[in-house]
Amino acid sequence: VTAIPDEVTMMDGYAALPRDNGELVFAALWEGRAVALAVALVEARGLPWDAFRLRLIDAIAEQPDRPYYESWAAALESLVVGLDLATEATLDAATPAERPVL
Amino acid sequence: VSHDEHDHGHDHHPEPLAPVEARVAAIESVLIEHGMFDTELLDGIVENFEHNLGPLNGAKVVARAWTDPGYKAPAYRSRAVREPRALLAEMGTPIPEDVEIRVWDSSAEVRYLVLPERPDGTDGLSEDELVTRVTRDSMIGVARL
Repeated sequence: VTAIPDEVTMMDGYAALPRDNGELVFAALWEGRAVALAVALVEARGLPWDAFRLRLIDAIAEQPDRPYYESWAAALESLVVGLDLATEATLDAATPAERPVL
Repeated sequence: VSHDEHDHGHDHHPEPLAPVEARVAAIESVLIEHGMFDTELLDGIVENFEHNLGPLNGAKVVARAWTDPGYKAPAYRSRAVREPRALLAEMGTPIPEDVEIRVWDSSAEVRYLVLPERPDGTDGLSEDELVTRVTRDSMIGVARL
């Protein structure tokens, strides 16, 4: 089981992970997945957590009324594109229309 | 658009996908194609959230109790008191015979905190490193570290 770095769980201010009664709140499975993707990507590329955190803060500032994890997803996409791992077009092509049936 | 036009031969009708959820799935598949990491690593991180940081694990227990009558049956509960060693072993936590088992039953007035036994070979670890070893199950006394 991979540990989550403190700098992720202890973020404060606008970037702080939503909590209820002290516990992290995920409304849907994709939200936890999006967190795992950011943690894994930053670690795989040896980047400081700020490489993601600052994009997250920008994404929240851009659309303050947007749900937190949608801003998270936007920040993740911006990091992936910024690292030249994908373009908007390759992501469009890879975007499924339906949830795969398990 | 009827369901039939969307039917690609699956046994079940696919569920609609929110745009953001689809986008996150696309990012995952692109990063995995790039060999950044594999699905197992992501599963491990998500599992860590569920087990150690989030309410999901507790929610699963509640959902199980709602749907599985055997899970909260008096017979099951009394077994936890009468033969905890056998029950723990069935649940995947064998306890050696030389370890004494005591059953503490929380009530409305009293809650028990279980301080798990510190695992061997952790003398050199810092407090922060030790934190990552502690699991929910160890804190409710149904797992050893």
